[in-house]
Amino acid sequence: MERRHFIETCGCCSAAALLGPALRAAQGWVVPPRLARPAPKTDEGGLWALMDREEERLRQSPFLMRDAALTGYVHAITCRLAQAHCPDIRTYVVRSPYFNANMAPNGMMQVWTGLILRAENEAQLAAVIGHEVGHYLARHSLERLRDAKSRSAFASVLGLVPIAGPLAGLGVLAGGFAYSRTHERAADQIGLELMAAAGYPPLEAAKVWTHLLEELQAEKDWTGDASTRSVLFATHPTEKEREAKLEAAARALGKADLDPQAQALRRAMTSWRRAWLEDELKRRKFGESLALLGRLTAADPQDGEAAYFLGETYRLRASQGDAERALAAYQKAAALPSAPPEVHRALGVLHRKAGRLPEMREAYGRYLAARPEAEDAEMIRSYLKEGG
Amino acid sequence: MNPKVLLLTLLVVLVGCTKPATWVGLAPGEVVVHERLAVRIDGAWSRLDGLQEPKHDVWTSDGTPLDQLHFHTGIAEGESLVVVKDRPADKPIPRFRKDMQAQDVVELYESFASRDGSVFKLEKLAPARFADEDGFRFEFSRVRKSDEVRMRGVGYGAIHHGELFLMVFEAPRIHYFAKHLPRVEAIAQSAHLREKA
Repeated sequence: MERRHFIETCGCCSAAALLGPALRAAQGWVVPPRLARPAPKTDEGGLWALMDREEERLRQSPFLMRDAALTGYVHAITCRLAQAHCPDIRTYVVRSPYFNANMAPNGMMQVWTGLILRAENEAQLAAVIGHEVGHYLARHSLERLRDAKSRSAFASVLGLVPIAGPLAGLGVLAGGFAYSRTHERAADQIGLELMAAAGYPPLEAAKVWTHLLEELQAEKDWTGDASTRSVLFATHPTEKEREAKLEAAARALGKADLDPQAQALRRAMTSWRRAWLEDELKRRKFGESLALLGRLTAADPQDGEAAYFLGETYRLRASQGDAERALAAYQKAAALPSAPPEVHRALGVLHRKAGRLPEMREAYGRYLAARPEAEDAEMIRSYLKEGG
Repeated sequence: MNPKVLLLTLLVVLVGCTKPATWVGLAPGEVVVHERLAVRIDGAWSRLDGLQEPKHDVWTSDGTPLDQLHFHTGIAEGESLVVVKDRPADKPIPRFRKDMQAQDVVELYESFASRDGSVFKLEKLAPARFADEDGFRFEFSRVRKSDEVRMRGVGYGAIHHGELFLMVFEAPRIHYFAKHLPRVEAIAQSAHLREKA
């Protein structure tokens, strides 16, 4: 069992959850009063106890982001959406490059860094969080637990968690067991309404869906068979129709002129974005990464960091013509002040392989000037010596 | 993932292990790994028998959860570090190319070491002699995904006539890495190439 694939599948569950089937208004739904802790001997109490244990494990996990400012920022978004329920919710940012967020019935909210990286603005992040808050407020997981059909599946998942590893386990336990389409529809609508109430333009939710579909399509185009494994494609064949319906529901709510808060999100992730982009490349999902980086570089042509990682993606993909594409992206990045110094190392590598020694020396020299204590500085210096 | 599919996959994986791998103790003295890399050992190493990998060997001293020594011997252009079966098409197999530089080789190893989602970080990369070649030595840390144990590792690599020779040791950061490091360094220093028969 390939764990990464398993995690990714879970991520898709939540992605699918956000994007949901055809939208339908959760008629008559109002924000419920705060949820009291259930009695321990009830089934709901058992579910909470289980999630409490998972939460304790999550607190110890090296994959947990321990940046108080970042976590506080994401928690503030959660609170803005959850309103009076805020005191019952704990927000955890988990370092994992997959698109995922989920919320456990005991109030444990997880937001994965791959989701934050993909959001163009705070409103888009709020769209996914709002959907998950929707499941929580409507207590969908309890309904699923009580549903005989899903109970055996849920039990199987619980039994298999140790095999999947701690991080995958958390995803599965907290939100990976699929909600019904009815629940997804309800959570979609609740999410949109929470967004509107919190002052976010609901239309941004549809854009999250659009971007995700673009990435999946790009992966499919690149590999030819993404549809055979993606939960989104495999179980939801009418995604285009859903995209349209989500957009229609968002438009019906209006408030399109609200500020989606792009700068706020960018500021919150500034010190982490580079590390998260490195994580993204390690997924080796080149179609998706290229779609993401294409979007980032198009949105901000002065974004040297995104240009550098676009080059890195081509270099790692190493397909026909990718060396030239990588070189072009690196050269563009190297001319931008926001590019990381590693862009010069990347250029140095290409120049060295092509035997362009003066260019190699210049590029490596710039890298070492910026990062004299780099982990590979000694190796690079040896290349400079051999280059005369 | 559908839990039933997961269960079935697990079952297939378990049933598929028809020939159980066994550990065979190695005698002190010279050991030639896959007829290509000769090293001198001090004993107390066991080799995983039944791996069925023509260019990959796994050794351990205290058991694989506590330390692992990997050898990749004579990896040629276009080959992967380990034999990969039934990989989905959207997970291209990282392959060795003979024009790779040290950094590229470390990245190749990283893709192998982080395929389960482990977090790998290069700590140091420097030139070093290995297997009669001007090669490189690298150090890394890794948070092992399966149990979230923090690992440390050291590797030596060299490219000889377009073939990659790589030796990587990894153990938990606490106690076991330091315990075996001098022995591993001695093995690396003792390594000599054997040309293809």
